[in-house]
Amino acid sequence: MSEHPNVPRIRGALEVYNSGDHDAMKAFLADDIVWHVGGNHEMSGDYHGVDAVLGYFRDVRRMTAGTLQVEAEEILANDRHASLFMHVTAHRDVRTLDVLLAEALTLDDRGRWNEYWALANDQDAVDAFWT
Amino acid sequence: MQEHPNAIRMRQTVDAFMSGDMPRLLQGFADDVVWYAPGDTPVSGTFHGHEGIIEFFSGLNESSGESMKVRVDDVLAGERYVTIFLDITAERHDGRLSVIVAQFASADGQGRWDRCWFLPDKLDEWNRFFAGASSGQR
Repeated sequence: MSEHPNVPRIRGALEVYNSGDHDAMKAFLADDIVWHVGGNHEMSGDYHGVDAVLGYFRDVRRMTAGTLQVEAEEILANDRHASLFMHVTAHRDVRTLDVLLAEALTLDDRGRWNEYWALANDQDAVDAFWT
Repeated sequence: MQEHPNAIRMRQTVDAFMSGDMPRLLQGFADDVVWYAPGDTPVSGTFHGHEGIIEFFSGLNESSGESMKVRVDDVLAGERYVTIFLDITAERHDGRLSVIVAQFASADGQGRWDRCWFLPDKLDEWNRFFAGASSGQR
């Protein structure tokens, strides 16, 4: 089965994200994106709009000294939705994060992300890492 | 285009839940399935095995006053993973719920779900609706 065009587009976005060039991420995000960060930690909450989301990305990079990396185990996508099974690793002082995130995206008609939400296989570990 | 077999299986899982057919629902899950559900509600936490699946889905039914309605909006499927997007609504005397749930699953070698993530987009609304009982890791 051929790959939907949104799959390589998302793969490209993840490469940009890992590079730390968050301004370049803007090309992949809808202006009115809503980014839900679940859990119970200081980064939890809803981020509205591309500037707020890019600010969140910068905070994450700063707090992890640029160590946070994402690696997709699988990317599924069609015109409207995408889901990613994402191995996420990071270090923060003496803390280490190593979880599998299930991530959902809704996509606009240009393939840009306009809503994001996710859940880890170990939310307690995520909470402890960011708290 | 013909749907991927994992997409068809996931639709059958959701249909079994909606028809209240617990034996058919459980057929879709590996014996050692792990089910992750976020939030701070009676249906939040990590649920293990078929007993955990029964506990989660029974909890959904009971906590929603058996008012839950589920509509399949979209399904994405590959060889190992599948994600189904569900419009879920429910109504009790003290509140309403209207969320989109992304339900993710990985399939074992026999096509049974062995790891699942159940994730509402509006977690605050989900928590408010199901508030009122204890929660925690199981």
